[in-house]
Amino acid sequence: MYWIIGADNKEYGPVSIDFLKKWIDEGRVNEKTLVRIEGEPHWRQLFTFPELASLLPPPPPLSPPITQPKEENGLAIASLVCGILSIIFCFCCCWGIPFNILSIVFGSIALSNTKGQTQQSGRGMAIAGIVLGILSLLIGIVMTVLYFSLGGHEEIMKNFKQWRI
Amino acid sequence: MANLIKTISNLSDRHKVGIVSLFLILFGTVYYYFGQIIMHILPPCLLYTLTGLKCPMCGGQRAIYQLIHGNILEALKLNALLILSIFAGLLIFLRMLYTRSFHIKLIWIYIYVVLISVFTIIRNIINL
Repeated sequence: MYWIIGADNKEYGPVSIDFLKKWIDEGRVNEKTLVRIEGEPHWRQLFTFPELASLLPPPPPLSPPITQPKEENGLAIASLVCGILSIIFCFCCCWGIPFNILSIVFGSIALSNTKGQTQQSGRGMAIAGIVLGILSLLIGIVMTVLYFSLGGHEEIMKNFKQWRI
Repeated sequence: MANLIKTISNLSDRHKVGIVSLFLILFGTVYYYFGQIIMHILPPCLLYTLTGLKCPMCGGQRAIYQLIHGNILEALKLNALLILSIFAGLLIFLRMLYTRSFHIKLIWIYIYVVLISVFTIIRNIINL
């Protein structure tokens, strides 16, 4: 005869082995339920009793691993968007500064995150973002050097004096 | 820097929306009061001064200044694509808030890039 501790932490018993089989079939008792043979002080999990473990239903067959669809890395998309924005803004005075730095940072983090991963794609987008960011910085620097070599600083100083700042 | 990015990406969507809105309001307020001074001090578009060609953002600051001050038609004349994309962006932002899905399809980014290129070519052919 056996005693068990149910899911509500109460002791049930004494019950015969046939009764336990019925409970296992009904799902009231599983392999991890604590069981004690009448007259013994120790509680043990059910699967450690060989005569009870044979009553347990067979484990479900191993299902094949689920192949998840490829998910695009969010940081890679952010890097691409920032790269495009930096190309648009690089003709302005500030070289598109927040965007090209952001695109390079996001792109490099996305590259290091997706390294050797098969679940997340987006390495191409991250590389495109980094390239666009560096390209916009180069365009901005070249155009600024040209601007100042053609006497652009005089115009800026004139505007400064006009506003007395 | 990597830690900063990690904490930002761990923020909930609600906080991200709040931070973006805060920055937009700050930017708008600064431009409303100091727009003229900022536009005067900053050097003009480098591409325009060097080659005479208009870049996609040319007239953008003036357009935003006019938009904030309520002259939508004037703003559209200065830079149509920027103003239209600001309105489109606001609509998309509101729709994102409504549906609570913050995902952009990649095809729209490419379509937008094509739009910008076409706009830049057109504005240099006819004086837009």
